[in-house]
Order: sequence, then structure tokens, then C-alpha cells
Amino acid sequence: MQTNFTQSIHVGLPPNPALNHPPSSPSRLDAQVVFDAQVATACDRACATIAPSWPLDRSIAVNPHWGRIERPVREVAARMALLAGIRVFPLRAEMLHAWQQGRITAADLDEALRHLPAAQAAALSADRCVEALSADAFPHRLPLLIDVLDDAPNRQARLSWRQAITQQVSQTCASFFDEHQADWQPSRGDGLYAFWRDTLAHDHGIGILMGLPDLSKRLHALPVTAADAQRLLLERLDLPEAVWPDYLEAVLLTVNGWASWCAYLGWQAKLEARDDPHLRDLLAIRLAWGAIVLESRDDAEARRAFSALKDEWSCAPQRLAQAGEALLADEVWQLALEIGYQRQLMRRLTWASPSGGTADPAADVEVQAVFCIDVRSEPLRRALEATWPAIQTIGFAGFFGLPLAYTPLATTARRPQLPGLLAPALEAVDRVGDGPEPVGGGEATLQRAAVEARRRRFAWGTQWSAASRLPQSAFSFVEAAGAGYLGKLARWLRPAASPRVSEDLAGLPARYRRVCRPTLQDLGLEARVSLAATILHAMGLDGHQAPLVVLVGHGSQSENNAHAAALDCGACCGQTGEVNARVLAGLLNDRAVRAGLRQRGIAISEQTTFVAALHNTTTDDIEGFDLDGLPALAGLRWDRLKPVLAQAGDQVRRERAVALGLDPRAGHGQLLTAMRRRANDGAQTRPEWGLAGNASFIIAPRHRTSGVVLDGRTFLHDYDAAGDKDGSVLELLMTAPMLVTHWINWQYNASTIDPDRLGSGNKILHNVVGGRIGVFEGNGGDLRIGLSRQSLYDGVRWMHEPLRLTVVIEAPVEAIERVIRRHEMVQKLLDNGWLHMLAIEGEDYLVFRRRRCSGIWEREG
Amino acid sequence: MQAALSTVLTVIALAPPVLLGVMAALARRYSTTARLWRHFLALAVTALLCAAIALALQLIAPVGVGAAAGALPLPGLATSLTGAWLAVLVLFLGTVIGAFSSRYLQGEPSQPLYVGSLAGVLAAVQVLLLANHWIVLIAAWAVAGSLLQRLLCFYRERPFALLAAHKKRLADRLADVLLVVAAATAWWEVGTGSLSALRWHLAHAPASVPLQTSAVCLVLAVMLRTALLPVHGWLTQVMEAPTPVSALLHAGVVNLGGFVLLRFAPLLAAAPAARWLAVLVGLATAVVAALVMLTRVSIKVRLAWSTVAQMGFMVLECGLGLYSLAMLHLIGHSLYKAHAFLSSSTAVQQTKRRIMRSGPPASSASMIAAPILAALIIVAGLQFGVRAPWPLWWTGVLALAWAPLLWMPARIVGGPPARWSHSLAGPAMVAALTGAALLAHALPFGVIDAPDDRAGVVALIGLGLLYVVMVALQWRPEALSVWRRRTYGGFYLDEFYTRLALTLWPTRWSPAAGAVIERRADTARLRATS
Repeated sequence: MQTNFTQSIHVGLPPNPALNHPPSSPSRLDAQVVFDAQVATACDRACATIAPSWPLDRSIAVNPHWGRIERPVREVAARMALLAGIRVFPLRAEMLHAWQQGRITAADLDEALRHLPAAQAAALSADRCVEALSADAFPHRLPLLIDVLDDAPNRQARLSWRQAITQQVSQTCASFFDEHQADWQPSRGDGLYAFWRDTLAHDHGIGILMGLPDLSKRLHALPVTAADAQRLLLERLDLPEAVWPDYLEAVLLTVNGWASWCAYLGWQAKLEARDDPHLRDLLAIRLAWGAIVLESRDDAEARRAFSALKDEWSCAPQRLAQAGEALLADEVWQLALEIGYQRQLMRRLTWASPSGGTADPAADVEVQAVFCIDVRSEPLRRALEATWPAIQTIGFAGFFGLPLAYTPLATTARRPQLPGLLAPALEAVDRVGDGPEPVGGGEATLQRAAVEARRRRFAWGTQWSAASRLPQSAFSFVEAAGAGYLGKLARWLRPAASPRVSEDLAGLPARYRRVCRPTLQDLGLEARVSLAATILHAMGLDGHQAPLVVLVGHGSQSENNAHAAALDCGACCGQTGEVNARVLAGLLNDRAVRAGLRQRGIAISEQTTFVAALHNTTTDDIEGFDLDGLPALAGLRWDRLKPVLAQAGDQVRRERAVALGLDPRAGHGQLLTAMRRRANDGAQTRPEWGLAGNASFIIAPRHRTSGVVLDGRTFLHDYDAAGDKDGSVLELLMTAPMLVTHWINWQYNASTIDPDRLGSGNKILHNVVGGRIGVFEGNGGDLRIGLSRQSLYDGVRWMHEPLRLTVVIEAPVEAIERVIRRHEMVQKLLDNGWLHMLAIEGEDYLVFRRRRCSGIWEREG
Repeated sequence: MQAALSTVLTVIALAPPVLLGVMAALARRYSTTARLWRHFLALAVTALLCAAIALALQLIAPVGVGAAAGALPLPGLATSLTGAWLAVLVLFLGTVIGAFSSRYLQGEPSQPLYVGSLAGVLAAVQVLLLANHWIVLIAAWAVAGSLLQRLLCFYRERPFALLAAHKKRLADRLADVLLVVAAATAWWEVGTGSLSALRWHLAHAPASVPLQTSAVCLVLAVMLRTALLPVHGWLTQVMEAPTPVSALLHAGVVNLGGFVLLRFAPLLAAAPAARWLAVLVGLATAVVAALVMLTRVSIKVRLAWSTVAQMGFMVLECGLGLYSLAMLHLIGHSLYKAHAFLSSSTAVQQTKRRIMRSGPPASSASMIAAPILAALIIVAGLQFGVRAPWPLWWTGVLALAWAPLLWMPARIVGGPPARWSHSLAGPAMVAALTGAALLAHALPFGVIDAPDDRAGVVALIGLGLLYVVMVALQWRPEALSVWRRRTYGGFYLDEFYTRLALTLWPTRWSPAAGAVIERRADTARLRATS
């Protein structure tokens, strides 16, 4: 292998040269440069495979394999199995269950076999697939240096090195990245690697724990910089260069949680066109640990370890190929599961066979309601349309096309309110006033008074909280004020049935709350008009508007829930859609903007009014905003709409009740109260099921899906190919909302399939790190990413069925293919099997076409 | 009349341990968890009511003092006002924690085991609160500990849960040995194991060397059980158990050491060595753990270190002879910490609010002036009382505690706010807290303070140093960066203890890799075959 290695870098490096040797000849200098470049490339490639994980207060769903989509799913599955023991396909036992229950039929299985070229090449039969279900052929993980060195006789009586290192790296990262939990912050001066090196040099903890009390004395072997650490280790490991990126990826996956956090920092930096070194530092730290463990062993042991490691990794390519073959049956079953769902979906869409396309959509529509594409909107939209035929609902991304960053009044707590893929381009701030009845004085005075009042209350709050936060005060504080916690504790006995309260209004006196409205800051009229025109066009509202247009954002309601943001709007970066809906309603009600729109040919009728609202997905309540400023007629319309919203909400609550363990036959008020109590219950680990069950994304006119029961499993975005001659709207949909839904889908899939590695584990043990960074499960270990077990599992049944997203687009195949070819990322997702795509053609008689991984469109059924 | 009252009191006082004991025994027989929880909560509420009535009866009609005070017809048990207060406290916490768990644990396996252990811990604690004999005390405490162990290892596949439990077991057994020694020496001297006889003995004779020894062993045992330094490790590492178990442990069990010290107040008062031991270890723990707590990066571990510090403070108060304050601390801290643990997942929301509130740092002048101003306010408040409830040095300790409420920001961002309200808010808060402390102090807890002035001054100096460090942290954090590193490591005390524990008493706690996913595969397979 050594020869391979040297050949591959085209120069002869001595096997284990000390890096500190000065280069003695030009050729050696060249070799060094080439070697360094190779190391850097391998490290970059490994780092690029790690997907970001957003902090808890901005928690949005991410496909944990986002950095790996350039490979086919099965190849990634094989790699994950070998590199980290992570599962990408469902457990065979689960598939066996689905097979025996008839969820997967023989027809599904046959079709899956037919669709997979690899299955045909391997001449895989249905019987062999069924046979495979009774044996779990999950490939074994490849060892890392720290694993092969971990063979000391006393290892049963202590942690494994792998665990101990993850623990130490994790604690160091927590300390380095924490800004909000510890009151005594460290100095971070020279970056993560230097911080870790410094910590370890003074940390006697792990040495004592692992039986190496003089560990800190051995640290002279530790390279000074991150790049040196990477070079040193790769040089000493002496693995074939071809497997470097794989080895490094496996190393990063031992601290996948913190790697994902670093990748998040890198993602943010990239949005701001900066470079972020943290992930590379983390890789260096984790590699340097290998050198430290190595130092504790003698030369013979080290040689044995190296040769064992080399034996394993030299045949990594073959092992990967074998693992890929072993996982072929799993891919077939995964596909069969999806085909079963798709068959049922296509049947439902065909049966609905609407005539809506021919009717005039403008006639008799009194209210248009724009909802987020979120799967939780689907049942409510269906209920609303069934309750009142004069309502038309529209599906659109929940940030309503506004790339906002919002700063609440009198604070510096600026936060993004847009999909994580994008950087904010607009600023929203709170303005106090603008109501029909001024609260007193001019608006500027009012604004100032509100700001001051809030600052004052904040200052009091800070002072008071010092008493319980600072230890010395807390000693005596509990003696004086401990009895005050009696009431707080008693509240755990029976939660209140109160509606949702906005966190953004905390500390604002009640008299200002009513008139505190988010608005766009510093945006000229021309820009505002353009913004409004673009959004109206994308929503399909540039032609006709109903007299009342309700913009419905969504948000959840839960108590004592570290992952609350994961239930809010993903398109608003884990916030509720309130700010975006209110800002857009304000923009579109603005007379000056409307005048500008008229000049551009978008005439909004004088009597059309936009109202912002929020769909509480936990209780299916809908609350309106800024209703005090409505014109009289619009106010009347809203009053007429209110009972409709209440009735539709009631219907959805009944649909959801069973899965939440509530009685669906309870009275209207009773059920609402029960759901509110549940939402306010701090002991409730399952306030709602979120987006569990998500399986498809339909991009089509609403009449295609109206009346179709989609069980809250479908994202819905309105799209009319006829009104999109240049295909620009389709391009937008396939490059933004489709990616967001894909991320959500894969987060749910990954957390369901491998809850230990790609889910955040048991909520009952969660321990928030750094106030917002993430959670530990229990004392420590790696930072945990993904969804908790309680978000997916009710104790008996998994609420999410791991299906790759099926995207259904009603548009000509050529138009779709044009977008695919123009965007490499979209093409990779489709070609490598990360999502399914069906196109709908025909009007009266629906024809579905499926895009095969090869890029060929095939007629279905 | 007196006899009737005494019978009623007997029945009511014995009801909680009996009811909960029955629940503990029967829990495993339940097939549906909903019914199990309903019954548990009904029993817990009944027990709580009984305890409340027992407390009320004792407050209205105090039983006489003397050797037979509060004795129940059962051997080794007696009621006491201190015990009655804590019985109400622990049962209230037990009810709240039970109600919380009944919803929180939905969908988790082995809930009957959980309920049984929870009821068992509560029953054992109730017996401990009634203990009037060394044997009852030692046995009840040990049973409470070992039942709690089952809750701490609720997730058996977690290696750190097993390690922490192992460390706790070691500390517990050591404490048992110390308690047995304490009991034996006292028994030998007094001639009986009865605790009221011991108190009677102490009231009539000076404490002999065996009794001094007994007191020292008792304090050492309390140190082990209340997780004072350096044996705190198990307490800061039991986040591997469900959140409500942490609440129960931190609020209802770990502080029982305080109760035991209060029951043995006369012994403690007569044994200067034991007192100084409590003062010094308590003070050191309070100061060191307080600093370590400031460096913690996860919410539950921070809360755990806060408990260690608070336990140190409670033991310090016992050593100082401020028994009513120790009692107040025991109750107040339990309520506070139970809530803090149950609501620990609000950390994200709290952070969000703190970010919104964030203002400029406090000025150094205000940090220096604050203790003096706080002391003035407290002294002024004390004028309203009939007599000073605590010694002067304790006013100093309180002034240091309230001082951060008076810290003022050096500058104001975004224009001048109404200054007067800002500068009055702090003093108002200090006055309110002082008033609350005075009121709470006036509650009848059935303990009599015996302050020790020399130890008091030592405590004041120690806490004064802590204040100096706090100010330095606000003012020049970078100057202390070397110390931060050591503090972050918890001064490596626990690592030595762990290493020692594993050497002395090796155990196998290596993890079963992938245990959870295998378990899931099993259940799926089971479903498939059934």
C-alpha cells in the first residue's frame, strides 16, 4: 500500500518523517507543497459533507445528508454504515411489519424491482427480497485510529476512547461556543483549535478518568496549528490517499453534532461572504486526539495499530462496494414503500377529477386566504373550503416572499425571518401607533414612550433576575422568596387553557401592545412597489383579488419545550409567520404602494383589504392582527369570516384529536380547551405532531387538489403553468420551496430511521446547551441534532413513515426538465434518488409521468 | 381530650408513609398506566392532606417538651414540628412531581417501576421525618437512597447513569457506616438508641468524648449524603435520569441531611469540632461550587452545581447555629429547585428574553457601594422588628447577597430613561426581600437558634471573598482566565473521586452499543410476528 500511496502523490516521502524537519532540498520542498495541498483538499472534502444544524431558537429542518447529495442514496447509505454505523434505509424489521400488514403489496415490490436498474442487473427477485427481511445484513463500521488503539486490558472498567474523546471535544466545544449560559466566559482569543489545546494542557480531568494522570505532559506531541495537526496525522496514518476524505469524514462523524454546529457557522459565514475556520479546527482537534492516544502506547503497539488500520482501510473501496450490494434489498423495500404511497396519492388525485379549471375563479369569491405550504395547512384549507364555498385558499411559502430580518422594539435581538437558504435583504422593525385612535400625543412621542417603558421594565427584570442567577444572592433569595415558587409549582398540576401569547411583546406595557406593529424599515417607494408586484405575481394574485385577502402565517404553542421553534414556520427560520404576514399586509394596504402597482398594471380594487393572521398549528385557532385599522366594510367581512374559521378549526381538531389521545367526539369548546391545556402543559412532550407523516409536495392549481383528503401529509403550493410563460415562477418553486420541503422530509426520515445518530434522542433527558445551541441527552456526549424520539413516536407507533418526498408538478415535462438542467443541485437530487418527481399532464383525464433517475420520463400506470 | 387528640395525630401522622408504602408495593400489579397514575395521585393528595392536618394540629396544640415529646405509640417514631413542616413540603413536591411525570413519561416503558420507586422514596422519607431512633433513622435513609437509585437508573442502558449511581452507592454505603458508628457511640453513652433520650441526656450533661465523636461522624455522613465537596460528583452527573427524578432528588431527598442536622441540633451545639467541620466544609462547598456553577454550559448541570452550593450553604447555616434560617433555606430551596428542574427546558425561551433585555454592564462604583447600601436598608428594616432575628454578622451576609440588586449600569443606551424609577427599583426589591425574609423567619419551625459568633465572622469573611470574586468577574473577567480553567474543571476533585471509587470498588459500566436501536428492532420484530 505504501507504494500506492507514494505513487499517488508522485514523489517518495519517507514513511514517517517528523514534520518539523526543514525541507532540505527543492524536490522535498515541492513534495511538501503537494502533500500539503492534498491534505487541505481531503480536509475540505470531508468538511463539505457535514450539513449545518441551526440553533434551537431558529431551529429549521435540514437534510443531514445535504453535503452528500452528489452521490446516489444507496452509495451514501453504504458509506454511512461503514463510516459511522448510521442507517439511511429503514430497519428491515419495520419493512417486514409493513409487508405483513399489507402496507407494501406484491405489486409495489415488483414495481420497485422494475424501477431499479441495479436490482435488475443483480437479478434480484421478490422472493429474495422477502427472504432478506428476516436477516439484518447491516455492514460493520470501519475502525478509526482511536478504536484500534483502544485494546488495553482495563478498557471494560472505563469509557472507551471513542466515548471519552467525544465527551472531551464536546465539552470543549460547548465551552467555546456558549455565549449565553455560563456567566463566567472563557477568553477565546486564538480560535477553537488553540482553545482546545490550551484547555487540554491544563485539564487533568480526562487524564485522571482514563488512567493517564500525566496526560498533559505528553501534549508536547500536539501540533501547534490545526493545519499541522491534519498533516501530521495523515502522514503518520499512512493510508492510501484515495481514502483520506472517507477517513476524515468518519472522524468528523464521531462528533457529528458539533460538526453540524460548525457547519451552521460556516453556512452563516458563507451567506455573509466570509470564511469560517471552525469545522476545520474541529477536524484537527479530533485528529490530534489520535496523536495523543498514540503517545500513550509504545512503538510496537503503535505499529500494530497502524498496520491493523491500514489493512481495514486499504480495502475500503471494496468494502463500500460490498456494503452497497448488501443494501440493495433495503433500497428496493424503501422504494416499494414509496410506490405504495404514490399509487394511493395518484388514485386520489385522479378520482377528484375536478371541473374547477373551467369555472371562472373570480366569480363569487369573497375571501382569499393565503396559507403556508406546510403540511399542517392542508387539513385546515380543506375544512375552510368545505365550510364556506366563497373562500378560496392559496398555498405559498410562509415567509410570503419577504426576505426579512426583524428586530423587536427597543432591543438588539435581530433575527432572520426567511428560509435558511437565503440571507436577509430587508429590515423590519416595530412601529408604535398608526391606529385610527391615537393613544395620546404624536406618534413619535408614543414611540419614544413605548421604547422607554420597555427598557425600564427590561432593566428591572435584569436586576430582579440577578437575585436568582448569581449564586451568592440565590443563597438568601431562596430563603426569602422560596415560598413564591409554591404557586409556580402548583401550576404544574393543571395547565391553563389560555390562548397563545407572543414572546416578542414581553416587557411591553399592555397599552402599547395593541398598537405595536412590525413594518419595513428604510425602503423607498419604488423598491416597495417592486417587492409588492413580485410577491403578488408569485402568489398568482396579480390578476384578481377578493375583497378580503387573508395572509395566514403559522406558529405553534407549547410550554417548556426546548424544540418549540422546530414546530414553527420553517420558511420563517423557526419563527412564527406573524411578522412576515403583518409586514406584507401593511405593504399591500399602503395607498402609495397601490398607486405604484396600478402604474405597473396591477390594479387592486379600492375595497380590497389585506389582513394578517396566524394559524396556531397546535390548537388550530386562527387569530387576526391589526384589526383595529380595518375599513368598516372589511371589518364586517372579517366578522363574517370568524365563525367560518372557528368551524373549520373545529373540524381539523377533530381530525387530529385521536393521534393526540383526545376524544374527537367532545364538544367544540371542550375540545379547544383540551388542546389549549395540552399546549400550555410544560410536562407535555408531544404538544403536536408537527410535520410528521410528510410525504409529498404538490405544485399545481388548487382545483387539482381541492376536496382531496391528503391526511396532512402534503405540502401544497399553488402554481398555474399557463400564467408562467417564461417558467420563472416554476424555477423559483423548484429551487427554493422544493429544497425546503426536501430538507424537512429528510430530517423526519433520518430522525425516524436512525434516532440515535441523526435524531436528538429522548426529550425526557434533554439538557439545553449554551442557552440556545442545542441539547445534550443527559450529562454530555455529543451535541444532539435532529428531532427527538417524542416528536415521532407515541410509545407504540411511529407517527412518521420514512418516505422520500414525492414532488408532483402540474406543468409540461419540458418546462420541468429545463429547470432541472439549469440547476445542478436539483438535478443531483433527482438523479441520485433523493426525491421522486411526477408530472401531471392533461386536464380531464389525468396522466402522470415519472422521472426516472436516468432523466427519462415514463408514463405511469 | 388530650388522649383523643393524640390518637388522631397518631393516625394522621402515620397515614402518609402507610398509604405510599402500599402504593409502592402494589404499583407493579397495574396493567394500565393511566389507572396507576390516577391512584398514585389520589393517594399522594390524601397523604398531603393528612400531613397538612398533622402540621396544623401541632401548630395549634403543641405537645409538651421533654423526653416523650411527640412520641407515637409505635417504637422509634415521634412527631416533631420540624418533621411536620418537611412532611408537607415533601408530599407537596411528590404530588407535583407525580402529576408532572404522569404526563411527561407518557409512552415510556416501565412506568409501574417508576411509580413504585417514587412512592417508595416518598414513604421512606416520611418515615425518616418521624424517626426517633437511630435504627429507624439509618434504615429509612438507606431505603430512600436505594429506591432513589432505581429511579436514577431508570434508563439502564446509559453508562453515565450507571457510573453516577455507582458513585452514589459508594457515598451512601460510606455514610451508612459513619451513621452506624455515630449511633453506636451515642447509644453506648446514653444507654439507648432513642433520639429523644439523647436530647434529654444532652440537656442534663455535658457532651462527652463519645458524643463528640458521634457528632463528627454524623456531620461526615451528612456531607456524603448532601453531596458536599469533594463527594459531589454523583449529584452533578445524574442528568441521565428523567427530569422529574432530578427535581425529586434535588428538592426532596438530597437536603434531608439538613433535616437530620436540625434534629440533632442539641448534639451539634454541644460538639464544637462537629460544628466547625460543618462550617468549614459547608462554606468551602458554597464558595467553590458557586464559582463552578458560573462556568457551566448546560442548564441541568448548572442547576446541579447550584444545588451543591446551596447544600453547602445550608450545612454552613446549621454549623453556625442558625437553625431557623437553615430550615427556611431547606424549604425555600426545595421549592425553587423543583421548579427550576421541571422548567429546565424553558432555557431557550429564557435565553431569548435575556438577549432582548441585554443592557450595559454594571459600573464598578455601584458594585462597591451596593453592599453598604444594602446593609443600611436591612438595618433600617430590622428596626420594625421586636428583636433582631439574626446576629449582626448575618446582616452582613444578607447585604452581600442583596447587593447585586443594587448594581447600576455604567451608561444608558438609547437616551435617558426615567432615572428615578430605575434607581429606586433596586432598593425597593432589597426592602421587599428583607421583609419577606423577616416574615418567613417568624414562622414557628420548632427550632431554637444558637449562633456562634466566631464561626459567623469566618463565614462572613468567606462570603465576602466570594463577593469580591463576583465583582472581579464583572469588572475584569480576563484577569481571572487561569482560574476559570481550573474552575471549569471543577478543580478536578470529582475525577480523583471517580478514579478512586472505580479502583476501590470496580464495576462494569461499559455501554451496550446500539442498545436502543436493537431494542427497537426487537419491538418491531415482535409486532411483525404477533
